[in-house]
Amino acid sequence: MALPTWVSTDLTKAFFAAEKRLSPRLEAALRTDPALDAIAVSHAVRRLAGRALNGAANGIVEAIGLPSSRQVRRLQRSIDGMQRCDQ
Amino acid sequence: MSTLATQVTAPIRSAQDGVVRTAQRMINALRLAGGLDRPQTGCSPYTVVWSKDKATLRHYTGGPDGRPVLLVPSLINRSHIWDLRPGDSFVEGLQANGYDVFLVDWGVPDDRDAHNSMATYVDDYLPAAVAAVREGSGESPIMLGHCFGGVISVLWAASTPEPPPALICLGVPTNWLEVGPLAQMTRQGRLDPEDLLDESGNVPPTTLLRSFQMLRPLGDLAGYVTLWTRLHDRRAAQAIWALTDWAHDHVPFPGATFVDMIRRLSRENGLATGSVRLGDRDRKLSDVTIPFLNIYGTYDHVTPPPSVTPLGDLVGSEDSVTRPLKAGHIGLLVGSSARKQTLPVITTWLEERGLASGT
Repeated sequence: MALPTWVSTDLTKAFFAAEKRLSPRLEAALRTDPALDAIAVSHAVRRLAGRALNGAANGIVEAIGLPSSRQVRRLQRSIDGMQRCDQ
Repeated sequence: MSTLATQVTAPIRSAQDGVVRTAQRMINALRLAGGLDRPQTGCSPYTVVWSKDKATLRHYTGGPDGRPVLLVPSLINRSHIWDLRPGDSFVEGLQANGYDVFLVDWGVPDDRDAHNSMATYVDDYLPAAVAAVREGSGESPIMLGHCFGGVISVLWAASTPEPPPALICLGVPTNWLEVGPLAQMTRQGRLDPEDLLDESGNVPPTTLLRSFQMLRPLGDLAGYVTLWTRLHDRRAAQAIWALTDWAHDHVPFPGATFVDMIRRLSRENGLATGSVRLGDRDRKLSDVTIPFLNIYGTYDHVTPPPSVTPLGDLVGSEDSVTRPLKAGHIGLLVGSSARKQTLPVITTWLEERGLASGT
């Protein structure tokens, strides 16, 4: 009985043979509705968590009287807006 | 006797080779990781002949004063992919064929560029860059756009009263129903394009990288295994390192352009229908009547062949040619596939149309 192609003593050859077999399945799996739903949910959760964390960090920095990244960004936008008006 | 000796010593020699190779790998790995032997990228000399905001126009010097060619890179990655390394450079290849090479470098967008829409690139930056080439060289450049750079080029060619002498598109996503999972998710409404913007108003590079990794989940791992297998060869390891480094070095994608891209190109599938509304105008692909070459890679994971092939039939040109090449999305621009396939196909096609460098 012949062994499957991915069974090999050469680890590199074995990896690429396995990759060739696995990749199309993984790619197809990532395009299924459940996978896309899971990615969308994880993105939303990460985004919410990131915002909450940033908000808290900015709040703490502002509470102790230091300029936060939020304030610097707002200031930068105002300056950019003024520069655009001048042009 | 000698056969017997060979048989006896073969395992010893094999083990010796293995040790030498592993030692060489370790040395090269340390050199690369320590930054002592990293490949130089984007080395061809150039001067900046025009700039506006972050966008600049590079004129590669040291080449011939032939017919001008304008390279239009995608907005997602850095433009040095066109001039990756000495000896592996699309710019060098075009210069060797007698062309005078210009390249639009879009720069690295920040908060100030978040409001740049697709119309900004199609109606503002690109026409200004083309005008600068025309002013410098005295004639309209042949346009060559890759991926999203091709989208910008083709939409500009559909909008301008002064089209270029020829337009060449490489791996340009046209039918967005065939483009990867990110387009699928935003098209189906799982994500709105605005959900992907960060505080700067742009799409962060990490999000772009993740969306590319979704196209080929084992791609990175395969890349590192390839690097390991070739690590004993200093030049090969440098070539792989340069490409891997470039592929992971995305720049932020301007937010308003991303929103336009998802709405106009993905959800409305505008290019595939032949008409894209940008600003207050419809850009009709049927208005592209110049000689047109549509090139795609048969192994392309980013813009798979079914997403690219319709473009040739959608433009209005009577001289429209579609050419498949045995290459991936980036292989169209670098490596032996670019040297042996893309460049010869382009230069031959141009020569057949009287657009050779010296004519």
